[in-house]
Amino acid sequence: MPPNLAGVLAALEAEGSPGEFAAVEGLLGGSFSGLAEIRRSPVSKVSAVDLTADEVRDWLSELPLGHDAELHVAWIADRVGARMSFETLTDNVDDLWFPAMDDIVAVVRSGSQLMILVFDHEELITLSSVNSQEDSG
Amino acid sequence: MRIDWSGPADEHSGNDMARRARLPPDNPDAVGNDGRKEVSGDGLPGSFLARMDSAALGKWKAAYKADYPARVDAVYRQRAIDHGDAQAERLERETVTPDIHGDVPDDPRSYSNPKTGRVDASWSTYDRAIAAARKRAGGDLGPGSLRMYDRNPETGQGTGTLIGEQTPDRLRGWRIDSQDVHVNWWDWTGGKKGAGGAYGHAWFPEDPSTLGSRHIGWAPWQDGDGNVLDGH
Repeated sequence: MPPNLAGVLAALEAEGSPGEFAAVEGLLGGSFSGLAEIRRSPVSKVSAVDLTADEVRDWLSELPLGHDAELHVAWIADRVGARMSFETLTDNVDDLWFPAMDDIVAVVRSGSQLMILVFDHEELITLSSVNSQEDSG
Repeated sequence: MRIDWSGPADEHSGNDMARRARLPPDNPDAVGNDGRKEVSGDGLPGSFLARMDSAALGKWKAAYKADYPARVDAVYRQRAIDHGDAQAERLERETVTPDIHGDVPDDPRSYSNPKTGRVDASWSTYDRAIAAARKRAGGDLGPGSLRMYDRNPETGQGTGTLIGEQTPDRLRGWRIDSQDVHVNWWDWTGGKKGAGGAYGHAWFPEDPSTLGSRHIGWAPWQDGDGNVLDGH
C-alpha cells in the first residue's frame, strides 16, 4: 500500500475498502492465483523502471481504455480496493503506485472481456485481455 | 549521532545546521525557509540541505550516514539531479556507506538509476542482503512497525519468521521476495520516485530454501499486536 493511500483515495472521492478488494478478486474468479498466467500474453506492456510519472501517464493514455471507464482497483498486499475512472488512475498514478511496495490490479469489463491492468512492485506494467469468468465458466 | 560545531551561527554554515541538527524534528525551528517539515528525524529539512555548500554537507553526511543512510543517499542524489555536475555525481557515489554497497560486484541483476532513486546492490549471502535492506530502509523502524511473517493464512504454509517490516505510515520498509531472490526496500521520506525518494533491491544468491514472501499478498501485514491489516 502506498503511503497515505487512504488520504489519497479520500481526496479522489474513491473510498477504499475490503469489499472493493473482494470485488476485484471476484472478477478474476475468486483468486489472484491466475494473474501470472494472464500477464504472460499482454496486449501491451512496459517497464517503468526508468520512466518518470509523466512518461507513465503518457504510456497509459495510449492504452485502449476509455478515460471514463470505471476500474475496479486492488492493492494486493493490503487487501484494499477502490473504484475510480481510468482517467483518475492515470492522473494520479504516482500517488497510487509506489515501486517495491505493492502490486496493483485494475480490472474493467468491456463486453465479454475483462481488461486487466497490473502495476507490479518490480515496475512492470501490463494490460491483458481475457474472457470474463462468467462467460467462460 | 550528533556533530559538534562551535562558533557563531550563520544560516548557511555548518554552525547553524549543527544547531538545527540538535533540535528534535518537531521543533518549529527545524523547518526550512519554504516551510517544509522535516520528516526523516535528522532535524534538517530537505530544502535546507539542498542549499548547503559542499563542505557543510560533508559534515552533515559524516554525522548522519551511519544512522540515516537512505536519507543521506537521497539528499546527494537530489543534488546530482539539481546540479548535474561532476562533483555532485562524485558526492552521490560516495554517499552510500560501504556496508550497503554490496559484496558481489557486477551482478547483472543489479540496476541503479540515481535519477529515479533506485539503488540496487548484490550480496553473497541472504543474511547480508537482509541487513543491508534493513539499513537502507532506515534501520530500526520503531516499536509500532508493521510486520510480515512467513505464514500464509489460508494454507498455513510457512515458518512464522519475520520477512518484512515497514513504518506505520508506510514511508520506510523492506520485504523479502524469495521468489525473485531479493529484498525490496523503500524510503519515501525524501519524496516520491524521482523526486527524492529511494528504493531498490538487495539481491542474494538463489536458494530454494530461502524464506520470504512467495508473491505480493502471500502473507499479510500485521500491526504490533498481531492484528492482520485486512483492508486498512
